Amino acid sequence: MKRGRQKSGLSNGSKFSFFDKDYYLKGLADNIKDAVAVFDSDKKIITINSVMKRISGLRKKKIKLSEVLESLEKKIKTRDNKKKKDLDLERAVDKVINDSKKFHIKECSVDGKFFEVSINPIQDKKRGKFGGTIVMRDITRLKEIKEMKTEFISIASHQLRTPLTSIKLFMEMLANERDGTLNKKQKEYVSDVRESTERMISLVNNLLNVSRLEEGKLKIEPRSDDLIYFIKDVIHGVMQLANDKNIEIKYNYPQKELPPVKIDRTLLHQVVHNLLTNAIKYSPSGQNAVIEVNLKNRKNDYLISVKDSGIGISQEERKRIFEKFFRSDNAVKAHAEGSGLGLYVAKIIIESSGADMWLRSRKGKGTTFYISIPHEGMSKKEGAKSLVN
Amino acid sequence: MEDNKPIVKVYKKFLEQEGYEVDVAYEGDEALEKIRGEELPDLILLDLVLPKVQGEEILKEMNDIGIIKKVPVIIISVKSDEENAKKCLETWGAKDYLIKSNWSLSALKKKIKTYLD
Repeated sequence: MKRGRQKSGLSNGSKFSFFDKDYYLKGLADNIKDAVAVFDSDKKIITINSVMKRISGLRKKKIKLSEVLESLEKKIKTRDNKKKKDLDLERAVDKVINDSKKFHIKECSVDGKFFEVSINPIQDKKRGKFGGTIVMRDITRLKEIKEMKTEFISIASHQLRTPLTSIKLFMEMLANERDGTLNKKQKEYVSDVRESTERMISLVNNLLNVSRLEEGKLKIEPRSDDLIYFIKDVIHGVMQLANDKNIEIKYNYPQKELPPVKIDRTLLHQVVHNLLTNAIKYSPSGQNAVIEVNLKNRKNDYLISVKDSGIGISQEERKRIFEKFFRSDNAVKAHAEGSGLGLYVAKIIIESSGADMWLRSRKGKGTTFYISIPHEGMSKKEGAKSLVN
Repeated sequence: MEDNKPIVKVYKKFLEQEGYEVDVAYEGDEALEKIRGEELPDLILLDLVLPKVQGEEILKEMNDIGIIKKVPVIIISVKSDEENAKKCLETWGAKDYLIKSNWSLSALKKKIKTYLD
């Protein structure tokens, strides 16, 4: 009795516990909002809670695991209509039992509600075998809130555009001096206001782009292009900025002509441009700093890298560098202007187009960002919207 | 055709300095009256969000009374929604779709010139 009580985790006060382990487990499972089912290594259901029964539409008393899986497979819809094999839950369960391999669907819908699904192994220590849990978390409300936030950003950004336009245009009128000449100081102030206004406009555009990317409605349209010249173009666009800080940009590319690569020019331009402007921003000025851009044709991919000679990013910060609104200590210390959106936008673009992106950095040794584009190019994605530039 | 007074003021002033004659409609119904009138403008700058009658309605009316081919329309909107732009250009026959905050007066002048020449 004593041992049993300890095992079931009950308080010592309940002398006449009528809880047997199964009831305890069932009570626990029935009182959480997620849909839960626990199975053993023989694929027998140990516990299934009422939410899981409701979602899978099985109301009878004795339920087999195969029935639950079959019913869920029929009901689950994924946004990008995943291939059938990715939704093979029977196989996922086998992998959990045989290889203790986790299975996860980030987002899917069942009967109009949204769920995150995971099937994870639990070890039966006595027998050394694996059973597992199926947990379906209802993320409908979370999604609604996310959508509301995105909508809010979209509305707020649009509302900001009208007053910003009017400031921008009046400043242009002043700068043109058609209604009277400005003295040196006044010119300087007008130019400062214009610069700030442009920054605000680009921030608004960036915020809108972020909400588009987060909505997953972004269109990706890769077309065959010359990657060597494409990168040259992007570098050309930031030359002025680099010259102003006395920074040299070296570009190394394969001597042999590359076959055309399928890229979405606008999107990849945004990514490489963001990396270059960051590299310029965080390079020390006036010290003949060099930024190295490399393009390599490797066995399976094209590798673009942008290396700066800045002060590097600490290990702690490297983990967070692609987060939205994250700004490193260096950025803040260097008083470099920025919204913390550039790398976040870059990462989403790269990941949603089947490419990859990462960085290497050592304190004091500069930072290198890498983009890997598979030989077959960026992947196409249907969508309603493209980026605002 | 634009309801925001400061923006109207700056466009009007600039375009007049450039030698154009500018007529303003601040509200949608006023804009409708103008396109139904006898004296048509050479070009229309149209904001999509207008009080009373929306910009899309004005484009639609221009199609209905058959003047969309005679008077080029440049949309200047805060909306950067592509479907919206596509509809205005392809369905309603507007000539151009500019995002308000992204265009300077000098760039706008060039655009206007291309449609007037």
